[in-house]
Amino acid sequence: MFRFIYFSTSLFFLLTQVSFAEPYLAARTGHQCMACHVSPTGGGMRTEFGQIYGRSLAASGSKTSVFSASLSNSIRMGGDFRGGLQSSKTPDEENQNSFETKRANIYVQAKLLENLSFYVDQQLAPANENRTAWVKYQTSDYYLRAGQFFIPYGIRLEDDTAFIRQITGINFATADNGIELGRDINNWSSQFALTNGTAGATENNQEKQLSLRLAYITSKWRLGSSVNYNKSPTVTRDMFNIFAMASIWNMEWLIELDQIEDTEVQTTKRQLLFVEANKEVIKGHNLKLTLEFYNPDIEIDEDERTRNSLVWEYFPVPQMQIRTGFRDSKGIPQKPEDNLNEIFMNLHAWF
Amino acid sequence: MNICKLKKIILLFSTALLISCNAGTGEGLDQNGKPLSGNNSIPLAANFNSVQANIFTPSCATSGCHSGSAPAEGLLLTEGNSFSNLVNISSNEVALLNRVEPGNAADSYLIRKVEGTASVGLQMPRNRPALSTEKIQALRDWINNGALGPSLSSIQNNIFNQRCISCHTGTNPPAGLNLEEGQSFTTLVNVQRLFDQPEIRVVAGNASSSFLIDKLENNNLGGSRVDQMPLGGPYLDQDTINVIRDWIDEGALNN
Repeated sequence: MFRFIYFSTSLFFLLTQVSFAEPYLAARTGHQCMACHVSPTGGGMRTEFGQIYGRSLAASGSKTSVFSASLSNSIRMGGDFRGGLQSSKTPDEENQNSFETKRANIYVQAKLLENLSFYVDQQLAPANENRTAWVKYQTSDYYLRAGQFFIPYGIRLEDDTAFIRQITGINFATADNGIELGRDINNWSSQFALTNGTAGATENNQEKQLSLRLAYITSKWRLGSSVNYNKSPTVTRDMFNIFAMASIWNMEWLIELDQIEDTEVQTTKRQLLFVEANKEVIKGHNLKLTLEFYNPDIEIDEDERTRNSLVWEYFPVPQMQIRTGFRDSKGIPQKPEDNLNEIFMNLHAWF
Repeated sequence: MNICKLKKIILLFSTALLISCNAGTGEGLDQNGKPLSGNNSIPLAANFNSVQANIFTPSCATSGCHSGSAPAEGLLLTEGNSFSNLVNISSNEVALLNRVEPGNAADSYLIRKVEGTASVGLQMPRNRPALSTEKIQALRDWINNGALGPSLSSIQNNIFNQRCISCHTGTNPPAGLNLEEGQSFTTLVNVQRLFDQPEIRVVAGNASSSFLIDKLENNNLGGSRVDQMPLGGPYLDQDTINVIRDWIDEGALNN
């Protein structure tokens, strides 16, 4: 069934005879993450440019908002709400249908000095907890930040359940404490982070997590690579990836390939592949196709998992998005929870 | 290269990816995706081995969650690590509650997390279907029955104190074996049994070679190796003995 949808979609794109090209949002503009987000590595509060760009995505409505997120010249607020209806089904269980508030966050940024800023990202629902809190010192080419922040690694997807974010353990739920040095000059963007390696929990060992992300960015494509090393008392994890985003035929393509090595008594090698294609069908309507592959242990045959999604994203008015889609996850039959079909409709509003 | 050719190449590439990246059939694998090795299927029951095999390993200790070098909330739920990270350990999110409070499932933070009643954080497993009522009940029963697991303190509280120290106590215990708290480790682990026999009561790392296991399982007893324990019965069930086996196989630590 999914393949039929995939081929139909592909055929549709071929027959429309538009010039297919461009990666999604960040790559569509050719900008770095920090152009639209206060965090240099993306996610969370939007910059003023990010606010304006977000409003420009809408199918209709005024592109200028009466709402201002600025409390003063040096203090700004922001927020995100994501929630909706989800229906999921595994082979051995009945349908689970639920309304969910997936995430509601409030952001505050205070500019303490010309080059020094303070930032807090607080999740209010479904549970009240701090996601990130940091202080950043910025020069024209470099920045240094300290506190709790999202680790620089690979493509910063919003979907924490994507294999490349869930399996690597580097996602919006695992901000870590430490320091990060970044350099953005000409077409190069690089970040190096030294953190506890405990996903935000209390440090429990003498080792630290090292993360390095390097990308070459042009207006049409970007190519990057990340490495991550984290040693704990029980497991040593080495991760490496390459990722690319490109604009081809008015479509945005995202690809990431990861290799993970977990060494406990023995070494387990895992491999991950993520491919995403986005197409702005007409103004305010984005179609997203995602293909994911996960090999949990390359030494073991027939244990692979896949996860494929087809999502329609509609921006009816500025600062609001409706997402609806179908996701098909497949794994070995012995693990019914890995064989999941999901249909969802989400509302995303932000300021 | 013209645009049409490029389109075709990309389409072929994507199609090839889709076709080549199929999910595994699971042939020759157990319920956790590991190769079958004869005794892999452990039915769901209210004991530690079962909740590890049926709940913690498949639903919690997945890569990027409660496993690896940076487990969520510092809680490692992989085999060999979960018990010491759960039982009588205070939770990160609500420090007043232990993750597992032996004998009290209702006040165990683990139960609140899987039932979605915790005051902090999300219901677990995160971003996956909730545990079935049968699995949650198995967890509840395991905790309410004392949360027995492969640590000496757990074995001391739930087995030695309940079933052994009525005899193996005092200054002159039977067979010179004192199993009281604070004494059991030094009189068991890597200690030769009495009567000048070469056998070791607990061989750290090797349950099958440990005399204690022979006495509990009634293995080759006779001669000087008389009497299955606890003397006169009722004897320990195999699930309970397996907890002692696991503790020994994991090194018989004084934990």
